[in-house]
Amino acid sequence: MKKLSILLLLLGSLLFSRQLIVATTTSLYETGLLDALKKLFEERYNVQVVFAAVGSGMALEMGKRGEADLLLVHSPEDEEQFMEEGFGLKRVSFMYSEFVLVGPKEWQQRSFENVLSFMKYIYENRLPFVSRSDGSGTHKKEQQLWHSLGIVPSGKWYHAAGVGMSQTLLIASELAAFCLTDRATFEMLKDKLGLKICHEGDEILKNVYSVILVNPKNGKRVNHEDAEKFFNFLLEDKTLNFIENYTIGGIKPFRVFKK
Amino acid sequence: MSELVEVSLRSIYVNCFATFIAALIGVPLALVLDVSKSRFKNILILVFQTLVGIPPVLVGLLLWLLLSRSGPLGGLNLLFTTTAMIIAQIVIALPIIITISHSHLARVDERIRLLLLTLGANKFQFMAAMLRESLSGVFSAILIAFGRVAGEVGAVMIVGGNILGRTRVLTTSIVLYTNTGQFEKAIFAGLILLSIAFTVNFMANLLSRKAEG
Repeated sequence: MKKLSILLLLLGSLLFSRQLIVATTTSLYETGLLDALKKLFEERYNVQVVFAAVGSGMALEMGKRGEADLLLVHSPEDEEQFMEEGFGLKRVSFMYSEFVLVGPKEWQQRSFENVLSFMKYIYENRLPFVSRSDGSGTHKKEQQLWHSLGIVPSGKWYHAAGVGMSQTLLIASELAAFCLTDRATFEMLKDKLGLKICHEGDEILKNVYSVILVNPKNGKRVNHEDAEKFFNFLLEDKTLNFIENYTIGGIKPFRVFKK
Repeated sequence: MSELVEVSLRSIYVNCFATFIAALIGVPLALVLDVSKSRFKNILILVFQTLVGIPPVLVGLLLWLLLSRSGPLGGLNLLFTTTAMIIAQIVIALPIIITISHSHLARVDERIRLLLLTLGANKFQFMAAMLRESLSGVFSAILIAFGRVAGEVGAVMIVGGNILGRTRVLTTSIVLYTNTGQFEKAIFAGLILLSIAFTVNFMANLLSRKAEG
């Protein structure tokens, strides 16, 4: 519902003023980082930045249709395809956070070599698992993990929720289930959940974010000029340092790629 | 495709069942309200009238608080089941059915009431006769309630969770398809929803013609 109203707002706003529309993923928006960046950016430029917090799938679709001027997404394979098809002018992977596997607090810690053997264990023992199943970057990562195990998850133990990260975590907490999540969203909700981090730190669990400059050919109203300003602003050292030091609930969820 | 069929069937089941239960509770309540002489009658009516406008998401939130693990009814394990969705829709439908049914009952000619009383009808017979008199109004109350719950997404999204094969219905899949940019599918699901509403209303019209004819 929230997203629908954002869409309507977007459509309305297109008619009125020159705005920079940044389509981004819900999980990233919910960390509050973007609003902080927006403040910094708007201090310097007289441009109104509007964030459309949608799933990665929808964000890319908005880019294709020229409904957004800039994309902040984390779904590398889809992004590469997006670039190949000529929908984007430039793409830079500028920061990353981590995915973690969370599970019920009662879970007796056993150590697994890597996240894949853990997920295999979950599958073999049919332990409850909640998936976002909404085509988001997080969901894509989870699919990639199952895929590399040669597993097609389905059955009573596997709950395909089709909602955002926060609600997926709440569902996992209710069902005492495992779930793949980005660290930032988990840290924000930690106190409300009966979940804990069961596995973390693998290279494969890196959650890489990219910024994509939308090709002005995609739509008549693409605000290319301001999008480029934001694109360059984002990649300045000063901004990258700000991202690196951004703190939620005592942790710094983001690391940047040093040039 | 089979997924959409399954989702549509779940939608029909949840909406019809919720409306049916709400009618089963709401219509008798409206009748009792109609005959009661209590001082609280008008206050009660006002409360139900207000609840007609309750935002469904608020219903969803309150039920969530009730049914979640830490809530008072957490032991029932109802959250993220179709049962929870049905309960939410009953809560949304009930005030509509009561308010509209009651307003139709209140409009029944005073002379009919007097006639019934002078003929020595007992309370139960009196209510039955009143229901017969305002049947078409009660019917439209139920249909309006059905329309409201069939198009509702906020509450079922919160208490159902949009889980594939368990709690995903047409409205929540429209939200999901829209968020993932699958507009064709979203439109298609919307059309199915509209055709369900059309069919239900069409059948209801046939029924009410039969009842009157």
